[in-house]
Amino acid sequence: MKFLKVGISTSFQDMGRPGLLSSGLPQGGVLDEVSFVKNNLVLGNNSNETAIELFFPGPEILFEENGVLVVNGADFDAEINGRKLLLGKQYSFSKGEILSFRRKISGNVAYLNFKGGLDLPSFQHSKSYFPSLNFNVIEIRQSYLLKSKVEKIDFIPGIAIEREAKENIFSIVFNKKLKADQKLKFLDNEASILPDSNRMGLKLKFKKPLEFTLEPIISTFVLPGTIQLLPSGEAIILMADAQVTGGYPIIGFLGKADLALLSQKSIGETLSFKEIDIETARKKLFNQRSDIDFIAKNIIIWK
Amino acid sequence: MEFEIYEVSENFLSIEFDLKPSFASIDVLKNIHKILALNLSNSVIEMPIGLNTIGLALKPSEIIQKDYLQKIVKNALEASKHTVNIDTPEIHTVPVKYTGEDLDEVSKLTGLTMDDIIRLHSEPTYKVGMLGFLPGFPYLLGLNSRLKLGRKTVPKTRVAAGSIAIADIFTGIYPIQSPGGWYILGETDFTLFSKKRLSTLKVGDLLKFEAI
Repeated sequence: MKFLKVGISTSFQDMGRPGLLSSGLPQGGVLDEVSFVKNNLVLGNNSNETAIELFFPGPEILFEENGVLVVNGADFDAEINGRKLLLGKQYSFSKGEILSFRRKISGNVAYLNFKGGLDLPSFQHSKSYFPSLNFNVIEIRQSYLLKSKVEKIDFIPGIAIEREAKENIFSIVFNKKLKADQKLKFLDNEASILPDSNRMGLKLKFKKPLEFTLEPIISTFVLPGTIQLLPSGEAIILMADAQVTGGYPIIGFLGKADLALLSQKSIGETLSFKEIDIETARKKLFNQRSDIDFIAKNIIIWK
Repeated sequence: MEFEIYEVSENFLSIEFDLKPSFASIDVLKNIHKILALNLSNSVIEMPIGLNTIGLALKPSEIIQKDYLQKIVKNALEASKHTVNIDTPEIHTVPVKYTGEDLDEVSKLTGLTMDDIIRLHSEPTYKVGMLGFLPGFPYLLGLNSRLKLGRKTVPKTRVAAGSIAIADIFTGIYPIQSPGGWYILGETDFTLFSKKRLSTLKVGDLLKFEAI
């Protein structure tokens, strides 16, 4: 395939590179793990097969071979040569056809996965775009190939997978150093996502600025989901490509289950928070992942 | 020694020790780390060492209850009093051209001459306290207290790869181009991060700057 247009922040992503924090390397990888994994399951791929992660405006892709794809996550009104694509459903495409994303209907980030996956070089067992090393940058002139040849199939039985319920309230596990009145200032509030948000972090502006200070800390480990308090009264929720250490005081963290949902919120959207404890966060993650397992099992039966 | 355990996410715990970052504290942490690793290696993906922290990145299916970890850390602390088992640190020499763009400002802020700054910065042997901020970026301990400055009020949007800079009690080296708020003293072509070896430096390694 060739990219006729690259789109905004389009990148190759898989689950990233866990276990390299000691080298200062963030795990990186997809923002919305749930949509990504579901796509691979629908296609019968390995669950970590590399996808194209895209925002709006998305890329325009000319296919140079036949294959099968699925789009999921945000709804950007995808079509192949005028044929509309439903989210979470498999479609075959032919050499010479063009995939485009017409308009933004809902969500923030979409995943485009291919049956058999893409043939890309890997670094530390991952093909994820790595910003600081300029690794696996999508370029317009270059051709990208599917890993395996996919014969043209006339009929593909498909299942469209229900997307997550829309949610504007996100669950936070507070740093135990926060006092009740400080928590309240955070909970009894509304935040909007600022324009300088990206794959490293979402910057939040609060309706009532967070007028409290936390003790300065010695730089320590931070992860996707960590919520830092900035001196300006704004906050940052760290995302997949965030640096691995940080020196801003920590308010708490957003659980992984909520983080996948948060990634579907666009710049300018508002959100609020509720408090949960660590056990509930773990349970929430477990339930979200069990849903994925459920789909996996059902797909096997259906095949 | 006091310590506290924090959940950084559902499957990442930080053990924060009541330690001020110093040459001695790194050795203490490395020693405790070794003992903890014996107990926990089956449950973790990795255990990175920070300035006053040991992180536990748990395997996805693992849950370690805080109470249980509390006991393990206590025992490790006790054991660390009796055994000191630290690998001999690797020593690195980093060539530096002291032509940094912030030398003038550092001179103004500290009241030191250019020559003093270069001498004070290249004299000590430094120790890697933590890797972070950027892949392979070392937080080096051992900076002469006369060079202690805060961070710049307005960070620069582009700091060149190889920049050697100071902030707070640290000196560090930018492995790649990035935004940054540290005062830049010089530059080097020393490789800090490569795809093959990842970070050249490890926590506890020693480092000398050599003015060229």
